[in-house]
Amino acid sequence: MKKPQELSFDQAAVFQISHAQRTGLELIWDRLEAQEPQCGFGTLGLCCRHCVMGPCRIDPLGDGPKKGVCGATADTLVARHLCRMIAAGAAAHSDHGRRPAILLKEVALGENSAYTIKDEEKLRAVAARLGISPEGEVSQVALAVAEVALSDFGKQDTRPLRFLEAYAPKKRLEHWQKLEEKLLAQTGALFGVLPRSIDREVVDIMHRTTMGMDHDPASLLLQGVRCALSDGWGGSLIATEIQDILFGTPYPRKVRANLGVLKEEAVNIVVHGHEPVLSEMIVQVAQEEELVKMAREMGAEGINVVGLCCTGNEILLRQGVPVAGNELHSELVLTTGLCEAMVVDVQCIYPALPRLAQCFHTKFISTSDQAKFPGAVHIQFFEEKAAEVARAIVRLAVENFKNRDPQKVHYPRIAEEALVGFSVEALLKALGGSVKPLVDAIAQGVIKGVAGIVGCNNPKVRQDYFLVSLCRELLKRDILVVGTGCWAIAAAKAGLMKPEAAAEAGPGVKRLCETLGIPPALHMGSCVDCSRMLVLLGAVADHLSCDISDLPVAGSAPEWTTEKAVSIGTYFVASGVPVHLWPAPPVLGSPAVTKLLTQELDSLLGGFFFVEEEPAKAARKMEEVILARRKKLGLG
Amino acid sequence: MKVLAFDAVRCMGCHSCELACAAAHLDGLSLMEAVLAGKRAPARLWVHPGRPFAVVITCRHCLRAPCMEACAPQALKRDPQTGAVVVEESLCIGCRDCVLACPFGAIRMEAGKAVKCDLCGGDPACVRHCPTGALRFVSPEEEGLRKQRRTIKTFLAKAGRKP
Ligand code: SF4
Repeated sequence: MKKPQELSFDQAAVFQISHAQRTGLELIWDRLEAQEPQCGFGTLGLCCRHCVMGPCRIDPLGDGPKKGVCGATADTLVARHLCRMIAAGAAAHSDHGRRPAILLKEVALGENSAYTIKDEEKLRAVAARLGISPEGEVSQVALAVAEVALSDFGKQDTRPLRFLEAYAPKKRLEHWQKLEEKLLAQTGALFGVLPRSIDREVVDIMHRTTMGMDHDPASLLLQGVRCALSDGWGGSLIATEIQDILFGTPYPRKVRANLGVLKEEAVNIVVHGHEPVLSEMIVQVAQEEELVKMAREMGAEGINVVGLCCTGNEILLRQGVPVAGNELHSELVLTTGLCEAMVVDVQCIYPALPRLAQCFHTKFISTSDQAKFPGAVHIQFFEEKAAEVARAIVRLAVENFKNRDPQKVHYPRIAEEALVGFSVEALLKALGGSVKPLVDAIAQGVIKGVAGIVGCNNPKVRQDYFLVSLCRELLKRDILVVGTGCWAIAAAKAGLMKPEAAAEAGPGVKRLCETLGIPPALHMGSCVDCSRMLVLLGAVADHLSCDISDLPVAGSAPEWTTEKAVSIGTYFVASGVPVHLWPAPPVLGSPAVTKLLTQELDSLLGGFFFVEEEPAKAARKMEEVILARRKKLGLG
Repeated sequence: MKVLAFDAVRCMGCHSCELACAAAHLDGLSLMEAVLAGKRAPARLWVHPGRPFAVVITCRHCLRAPCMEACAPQALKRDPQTGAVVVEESLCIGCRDCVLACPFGAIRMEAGKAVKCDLCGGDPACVRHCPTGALRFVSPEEEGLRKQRRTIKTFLAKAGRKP
């Protein structure tokens, strides 16, 4: 068993892991240890189960087989598998985006009265962007926006997504179009990069990667690119934009982050997962007089809703709800013995959680038809009865307060303050209405550039260590850091989202932050909100009449775990941003595919992947990328 | 001295042991680095999954090793710590006599030198990587005692007595 200090960089986590180890509670790190050493074939991407002539493996070192039964080589196996990872990741983000799109339509048609349109200004702005008349009845405009979004999911023509056409910067759009033409002219074969419809690109990959289909690594990867773009400039973007319309565009607000946001005296409800549709409602009903009164009658001071992971990010940004932690905190929060309920929707919810909850009085409540858990209480969520369902959930939590065992309560009183909520709209407001001040700061060399850090925790990496250290290293080098997801929560917990944290940054970032009154690490939202970074990049590129691949920017997913991260990484690369990854993705079994990803993609798309295990080295490489691009732009 | 023990019933034919064996002999490179560098590293044990049972071929580190007896330049030595029969590469002249002498076919040639199991210095990688426990590293004496105990239990149970 490893020492808690080696497992997490977060002191609250260390405190809680020690407690779990003392009391014999099984955590994710124990399960990882039980899996080690992990399979070499899987690590390299050299196994295939796409048909039952297999399973097949390829021997990377010795005299074993170099082909699957069908004849597929290591290059095919690796590319096919990566492609499927992208499809799964894009599907997760986009299916998430579909829900608010349908909801917007229902609200517009008056079929759902549980929700309203909170941000009319954003609705009209999105409409204008899509070429829909922004004037007129709110419900009419909303319906038109929802129709465009839904048609982007399922249309059958081969034109690019309307959301992509409306949001991608001009030069980038041209680049993708020209790339398709160039590849056709050079090879005589059809290669597609521009996504036709969100669902179709996922289906295309499932078709293409089945036995006896596409075996050409480059062709497979380009379809991966197309699918990832349908996520970034499609499904994820739709999720962000429509959630803003329905629940409000985030603006800066102060919140608290880490396990110390749990309250001993209150009924604690942890909402975990990814979507805001249910959690928004829980936050709302938890303030209702009747339920608060009920909690008081139970002897609690009130009801304390806290977030976890991206559901946490969604309500953190829009409602200022405190966040208990990121992915690796999801078990730890249960071990505090303070949670009356953990309510989950979709994605990144460990199946280990219900079993752990059973060691305490905690009710583990699943709500999605798509994510059910043995050992959970399932309370089915219906959008049209959202308030009722949310009330039933909160009531169950309140009633459970009496079952809390004080003997089992053990939690760290650790929480940091953070200034969060930097949507593109909020950033533009801070900048005085245009990206120009940011562009000037970069052009004049006040800051060297901007880095985006995203992604998960992974028990293979000391929790938050890479996320936080990389951020610090970049800030020291006068590179402003923006980001989303579990990184954002890690940075908040580490205190990097307080405006005072600018003192840790290089002189340029410090000056910029002081002038604008912003922290040096900017929380842009949940993982679907990576689309906000794309929109920001697009705005800067269009402002300068250049392409994203010209801008001094770089990205990183330094503790990534999920297939969603592969999709995110790929759409950034495909949009012209070099992306750092750690751990290495399961592609190294094919030196050819590895070369494609790390070198050849650059000449096709202006972005590439690189792998680096050390935060300082990763930061140095990102800085090099940024400096090289500055040089090309003629900036010192 | 411990030996490798193989339980054919537990083997699911995943070849993890072979890859682990190759990866443990990469002169300090990691598996990923070696693959990217295009390095060749054959395994020193081979699983032949078959029906009704799998067979693993590897060196037994025989107490009276025919390969050692056959090796004229005395390139094959016994490691005093582990009891393993190991190749001293600088002495190997590539005569292949050991390959012919081995009754199990556990020695192969690679780049003109004999290559065989060295028990990884006492902590065999194949055993560590076997996900089902089909490969174990055991002392034959202890294994014998364990089997004696098991036999006694069976007899007692048959006689209706508690052991
Ligand atoms: S598709 Fe080919 S490589 Fe994959 S399992 Fe079938 S035969 Fe094996």
